[in-house]
This record gives sequence, C-alpha cells and structure tokens, in this order.
Amino acid sequence: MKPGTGPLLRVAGVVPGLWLAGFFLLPLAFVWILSFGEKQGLVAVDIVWTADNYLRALDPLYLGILAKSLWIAALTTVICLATGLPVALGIVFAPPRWRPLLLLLVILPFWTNLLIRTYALIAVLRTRGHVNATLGWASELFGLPFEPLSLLYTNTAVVAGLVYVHLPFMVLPLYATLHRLDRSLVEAAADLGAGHLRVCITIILPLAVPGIVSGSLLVFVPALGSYLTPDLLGGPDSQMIANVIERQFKSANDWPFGSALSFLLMYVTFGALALRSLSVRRPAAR
Amino acid sequence: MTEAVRVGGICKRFGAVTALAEVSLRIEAGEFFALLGPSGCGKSTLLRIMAGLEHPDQGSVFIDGIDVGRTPANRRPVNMVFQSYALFPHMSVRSNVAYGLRVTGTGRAEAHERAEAALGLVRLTGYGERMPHQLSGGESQRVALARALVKRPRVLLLDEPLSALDARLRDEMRLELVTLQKTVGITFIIVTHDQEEALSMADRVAVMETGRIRQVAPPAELYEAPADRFVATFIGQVNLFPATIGADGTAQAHPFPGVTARARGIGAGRQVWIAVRPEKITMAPRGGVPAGRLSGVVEEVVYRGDLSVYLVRCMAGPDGLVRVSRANAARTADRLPGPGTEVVLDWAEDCAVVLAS
Repeated sequence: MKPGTGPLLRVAGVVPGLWLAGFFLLPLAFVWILSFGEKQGLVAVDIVWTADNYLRALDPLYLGILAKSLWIAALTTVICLATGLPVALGIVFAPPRWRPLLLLLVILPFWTNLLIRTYALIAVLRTRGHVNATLGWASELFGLPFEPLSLLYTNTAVVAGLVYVHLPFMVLPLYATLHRLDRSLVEAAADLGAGHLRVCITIILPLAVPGIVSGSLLVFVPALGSYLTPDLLGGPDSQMIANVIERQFKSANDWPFGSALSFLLMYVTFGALALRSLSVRRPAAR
Repeated sequence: MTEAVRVGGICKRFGAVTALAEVSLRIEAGEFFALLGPSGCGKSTLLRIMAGLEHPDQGSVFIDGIDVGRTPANRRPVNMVFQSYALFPHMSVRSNVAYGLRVTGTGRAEAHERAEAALGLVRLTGYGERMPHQLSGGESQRVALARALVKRPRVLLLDEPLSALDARLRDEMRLELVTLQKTVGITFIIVTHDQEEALSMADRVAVMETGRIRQVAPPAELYEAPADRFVATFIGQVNLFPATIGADGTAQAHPFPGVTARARGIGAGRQVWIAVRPEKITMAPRGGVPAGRLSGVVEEVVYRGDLSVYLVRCMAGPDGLVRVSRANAARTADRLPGPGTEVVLDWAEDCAVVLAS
C-alpha cells in the first residue's frame, strides 16, 4: 500500500459508516423498540416492553397471510429459476458479439420505473387487455367461442407480476456463474458420449448451484416483502404480509403492531439467509 | 496397415484468420502420431475437428473408414484428453472415470468395475473416492487418461497433455504414455508444440505451420532429412548457408567455397539453402590437421554439461557465425577449446542437406 492511502481509506469509510448508522441502524432500532410498545392514543405510544404485539402477530390470521406470502414468494422463485436458467444458458452459449445486447435486454426493464411497469402489466392482463385480445383474435380465427378470462386481481396476476419484476435478479447471477464455467468441461462431457440434455443435468446444473442459490435468494427475499405488485395486481384475497404491515402503519395507525410484524418478516428472511450460508458451506466441507 | 483416421482437404477459418488450409492426413491404426507446430499453427483445431468439437468449413473426416462429418462429438468412437484435463470438479475420481460409461447406458456396477480397472491401468488404484481438487497435476493427468481410455475408443486424442506438468514429471509421463499406448494398442494422436516430446514419443510426426502440413515423417527422417527451412529450424538447431545450384547439380554456398552439397532434382541456377546440424560438425585446432571446409575463430562457448556449444566466427556479419556442438567426452573442461582459438570445421559430405525452400 502506498503511504498515505491508509488514513485516506479510513476517512472514506467513516462517511458511509455514519450514513449507515444514522439512516439505517438507528431507525431500525427505533422500530425494534416500538415493537415492544403499546398504542395509547392517536399518536402516543408507550414503550412498556410487552411481547403482546408478537403474540398477536402469531394469530392464525396473520400467520396464514405470512404462509401465503412465503408460498407466493417461493412460487415466484421457482418460476424465475425455470425461466431464468434457459435464458442465462442461452446468453452464455450465444456468439460473443451478441452477449452484450442480450444482457442489455435483460437489464432494460430496470431502467423503467416499477410503478409504470406494473401499470403496463395491468393493461396486458385486464379483461379488455392484450392477452384477452390476442386470445379472442385467435379463437375467432379458428371459429371457437371465446369468453374473456379474468386475469387481473388474482393470485396468478400477482405471481406473474412478481416473476416479471424479479426475473433479472435470477438471470444475472446465473449468467455470472455459468459464464465462469470451464467450457472444456462441457466439451469433455460431450466427448464422453453425453447428449445436450445429459450435459445440462449432470454437468452444468450441479456446477451452477452457487448461482442458483444466490439468484433464488435475490428473488425470494424481495418477493416475500413485495408490496406494490400485490397491491396493484392482486385481488382482495391476494394481499401479502407487506400489505398488512402497511395497513398497520397507515389506516390502522397501530405502529407497535406494524413494527412487530415487520420484525417477524425480517426474522423469516434471516432464516432464508441462514439456509443459504449452509448450502454454501457444504461443498467446502465435502 | 489399416487406417484409423483420414482427413481430406480440411479448411477452417475463424473470422479473418485461417486456422487450417487444405489439410489432408492419413493416420494408421495402432500408430502413435504427433501433430507438432508452434502455437497458432492449427494443430489443436485439427484435433478438435477429429473429435467433433469443431466443424470444418470444408473437407471430410473418416474414422475407421467411416465418414463422421455429420456425427456429433458424443457419437464418435474417439475420446480426448484435454489440455486442462477438464475433470468434473463435483464428481469423485471414480465417477469421473465412469461418467462416459454411465451416460451411454452401462450399469452402475459394471461401470464402476471398469473404472477401477482403468484407474489400475494408469497406476491410480485406490484413488476412486478422492475429489479432483485433492489430486496433484500428474494424478489429474492420469485420471483424464483413464476417463478417456475406459471408453475403449478407436482413437485417443491428446491435446498438449504434458504442458501443464513440471519438467521432471513430463519426462516420466512421456515414457508412461508410450508404454500405455503399446499396452492398450489404441491409436494415439497427440498435439504438442514441444519438438522433443514429439520426437521421443511418436512413430510419425506431422509438422504444421500456419494451417498447413509441412512434412509427415518418422522422427529420424524429420530430423535428418527435413523437407524445408521451416522444418529444419523448428526441429533442433541447424546452420543454414545460402547457396546456388551449379551446372553439375552441386549446391555451392556463396561466401564459403568449402561448403557444398549434392542436390537432387533441383534445376541449375536455383537459390537454395545448405543445412548442416551443429553436432555433425567436427572441430579441430588450426594447423596439424588438413584444412577443413571452414575455418574460423571460436567466439563463444556455452557449456551445457553433456555437450558444449561453440559459436565459431567464419566471416564478419550476422551470417558468419557457425554453430558447432560437441559432446564433452573428456572430463576436464580446460581441454576444451576456449574463445579465441583458431579452428577448422569439417563434416561428412552426406551430412549437408539441400533445402529448396
């Protein structure tokens, strides 16, 4: 290290450190303390160190919503994996000069606001939307009767929206892992007699596990806490845990309970992260 | 002899680069064949075309007399040992070796049995449970060999198999590969840039340069009767004298009247080269002995243990240095001629080779 860079680096680390403490850790601690409080009036909250909020959060009603959120997030992750893996493979094995363009196409949606993308999806899925228009046109072509499908405001619409929003988070880590994969391993497998599918299952997939794990986590964690997509695309029965939390802070004005629910969600997320660190450690121990 | 591999008129371009230009070659069954050339000469591409990992723009590939032009890599009766070994990092050694059998429908028990046998063949009995990252370079190399041999291919293709090993291990593996080839009786085709490797292992060697085959010959013929300047300079050391073919069909080097050679089938007046290997030249102090073909002064001596290389200045200028190598038969180094010694150089008439190009 060159003389002088050490102190400079230390100073450079202080600013983000202060930022993190002031705008992340401190508010988080505040919410954590709030979760042990008791609602007194419209805005007044007494910190009485009670576990009541957490006990209330364990009510079957809320646990049910949490379970459903977990289910929707898991389904989103699986669909993202099933679609993202062929996409990532396609990009990796595409001619090198096509790769930047294909990657750009994957990243492109990021450049558009989430709200706009979600509204666009409403236009696609609604009763007089593009999906129904296409299906109607197709059935007219074959002379079949057609009843427009009600796609919007369903759990399916929520999952479709979540998959659409989160797919790049799956494709990019998968691409990174597959790109690093030694091409001669694939050639060796083919040389030894394995067909394309066999090479995928026995060589590429096992070696892509780190990418699959990080991609799944990158999709699962934000999908679990997603708020906007179920709010705009979901029906009355497709609310997820984040929508419930939002309602505690806003319409119900019950900040302590909202805080408790928030932390419950966070603990579940920590659980998912712990599972990941286990799966990462295993190959080294082998 | 029956042929194992025959390629005809192979052309391959990568963008603007011509990797192979009209390459034709016939390799006999049971042969240890080497493709030798500097990096970028197209030798690896030719090997990969035989394996089916690369497709030629033009030309045909026959294996065992069957056109495999449209056969994908996984259905060709050839197997390859990759330069990087390409062992599957997530599988044990046994699973690696058994892989080629398992994917083609051999049962688990039989595949494992044959894998163990193949590991025995490369002297790695008991290594089956290990993971590739626990192996040394030499061991990885042998696992890669076993993995390819267990398939009992018609032809084994080896892409620079020894280049990742250290010098001592490389010498060992050379001998082992030759022995192994004799044991299994499979045709081996090895790609290498190391002339020593090709000469010491192969029955026949094809020397390649910029996508073309320059000469195909047994090692001794390649060394003693090179087809052209490229082959002569790429394999071993050589002294080249520019020369002209005289009216009597004898090549005469320009500034050196003593340097002549018999040329066959080259027209009078042609510009040629006379090539003389350094170890064919005898060297004696001037005076006492009859005048040789050349005389000069020792300018530099490079001591190499088993032999010494002398750079003898026979004329001013960059072309005036002649390289002579003599075995250090006597033990005392002080009896060797040192720099400044005036010497005469001579060689037997048939040691000089005429190169037309």
